[in-house]
Amino acid sequence: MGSMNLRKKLVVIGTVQLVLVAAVLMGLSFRKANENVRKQYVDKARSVVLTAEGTREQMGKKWDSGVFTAKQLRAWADDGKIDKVLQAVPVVTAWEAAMAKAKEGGYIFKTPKFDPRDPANKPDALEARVLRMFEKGNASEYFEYDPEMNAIRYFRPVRLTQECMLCHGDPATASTLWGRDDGTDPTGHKMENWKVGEIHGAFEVIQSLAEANAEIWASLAEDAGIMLVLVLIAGFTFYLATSRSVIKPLRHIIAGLTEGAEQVNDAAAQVAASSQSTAEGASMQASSIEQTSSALEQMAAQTRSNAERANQASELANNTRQMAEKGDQTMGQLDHAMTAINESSAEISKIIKIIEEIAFQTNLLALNAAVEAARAGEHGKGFAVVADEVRNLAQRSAEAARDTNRLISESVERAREGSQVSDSAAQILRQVVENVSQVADLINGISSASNEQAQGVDQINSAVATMDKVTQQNAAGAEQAAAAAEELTGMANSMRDQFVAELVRIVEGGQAPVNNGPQGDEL
Amino acid sequence: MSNDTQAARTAETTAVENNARGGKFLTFSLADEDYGVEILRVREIIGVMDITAVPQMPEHVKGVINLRGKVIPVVDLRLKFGMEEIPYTEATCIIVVDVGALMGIIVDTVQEVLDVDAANVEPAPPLGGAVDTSYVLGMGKVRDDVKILLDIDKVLNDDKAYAVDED
Repeated sequence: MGSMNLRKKLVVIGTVQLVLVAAVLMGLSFRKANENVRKQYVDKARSVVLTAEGTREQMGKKWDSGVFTAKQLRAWADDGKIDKVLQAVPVVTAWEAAMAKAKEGGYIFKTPKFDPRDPANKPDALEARVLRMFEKGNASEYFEYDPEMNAIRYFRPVRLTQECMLCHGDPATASTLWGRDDGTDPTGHKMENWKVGEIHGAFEVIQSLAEANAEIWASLAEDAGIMLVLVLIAGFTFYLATSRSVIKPLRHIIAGLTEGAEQVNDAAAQVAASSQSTAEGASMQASSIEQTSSALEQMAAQTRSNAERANQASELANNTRQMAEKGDQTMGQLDHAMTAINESSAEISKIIKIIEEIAFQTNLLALNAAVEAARAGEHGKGFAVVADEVRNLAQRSAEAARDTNRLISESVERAREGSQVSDSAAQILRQVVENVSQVADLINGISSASNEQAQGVDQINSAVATMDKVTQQNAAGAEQAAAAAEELTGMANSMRDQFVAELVRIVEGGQAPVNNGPQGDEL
Repeated sequence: MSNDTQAARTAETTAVENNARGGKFLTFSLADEDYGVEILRVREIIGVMDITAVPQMPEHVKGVINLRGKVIPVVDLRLKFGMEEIPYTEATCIIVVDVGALMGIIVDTVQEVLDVDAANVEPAPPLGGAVDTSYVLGMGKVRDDVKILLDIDKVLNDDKAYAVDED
């Protein structure tokens, strides 16, 4: 049974069940039929025996009514008409009546008895047992199936009546009844000294079950035949039903499961591959994060030193600006000095101008004097000399004034130059101050930018750390995914190899190959 | 007219050559040249002062000045000689000359009174110079310089008409 395919199994099981049910039913009906037959036979036997007993009783009544008397019987016995004597015996009439119709009635009538006068009535084992049972108890009937004879044997005990005493009673009466002195009845048998009411022997009806059995068997065979047909039909129906409702869907399911397992395998392979690439990517990411992290460290160090340097530069710039401002102040002082010089120079120049004018006027005066002196002729010669001297003086004054003017001019020029220089120096200083201010601003900007940069680098650092964690998580997740994919593959494979194969084995029967499913739908 | 003038001029030159005049000259500068005027002609030298312009006068006649109550016409010698007019400086002077009437000439600077020897006076070259040769007495050599000695009478001859009569 183990190597049959599912359909065969189901069909077999179904039909076997059907057959079993039918067999049980048939068995029950067989038994019932047997019982019925036995009951019928028992009833039949009972009625036969009852009729026999009735016959006996009627004969007894004839005796009671005087149809038969002992005198009569003696007379016949004396005549030697033993058969007539016997015919007057009720029980003999009874069994003769019964036996007469035995063949036609389809039964055997017997009268077993212990120590029978007729040796044909010697009881066999069964009859002996029943007789003993009747003698012990008060059973009015007994029946039993005798397997040896294959017959129902029905017994009713024979109870002695008064009439029976004539031949079976006290032997002492033999002489009175029959005129015999040896205690024998007219048949020559010794009177047994039985009493009325004693049970001696039984009426037995034996009915062979052979015919009935044959009938039953025939009916059974008929039923079996019908059942066989029905079972075949049912089996075919089963076959169809299981094919359509069980095998086909199962095959479908097997195919689906196999395909599903394949798909799961494929998907798991894809997941494994993508997990692999994710893991690789994650490890690459991790290494690049490492690089980024170290680069950030460097950058942070750079930024810090930048900020420090910026601070130093800022200090320097501030110092420079202070010095430039001081220089500016000094320039201002210089400017004031210059201005003072210029003012006093201007004053001196004014005075010089006056002196020059005086010299000029004096010159003119001298010239006029010379003119007058010339016009005076001889008298004016002395005057001409004086005029000349005055003119000389005037010229000297003019020269001195010119020299002084020149000097003043020069010094003014130098002062102006100095002022210019100081102006340009002041301008330069102001420029320097401005530049330094700008530089200081720039440096402040650099400093704050460096600070921000440092903050940013810190943020980046923490972000990188987070990224690192995330990458690790990714890698772990990818590993888990790969492991899960492996498990999945394993499960899919085991499903395919174990369960689907088992299913195939169940459906197709026998040793189905472990690694393949059914090739297509075999239905 | 030209004949007369030329004749007069020739006479003057001859007179100059014949006289070989020396004497004292008041030297002044005008443009880049040094000039001289006979000292006897010079009445006074003054620094430049406000000149009252008089209408309908020729261009070189600048106007009149008030010199101690006297009204004297003033001539710009630069313009008279056709030179470029320049603004007056502190050195600009007015030489008051007596040419029959008192007139003033505006010169750039006044220098000195020079005694020029007659031997050092050369006649003016017939061509060259900014000044009409009839105005020139001669060229006076003084040390290394040469002064153009002017005949102031001739110079201001045409302008005498503007002078106020003194009498």
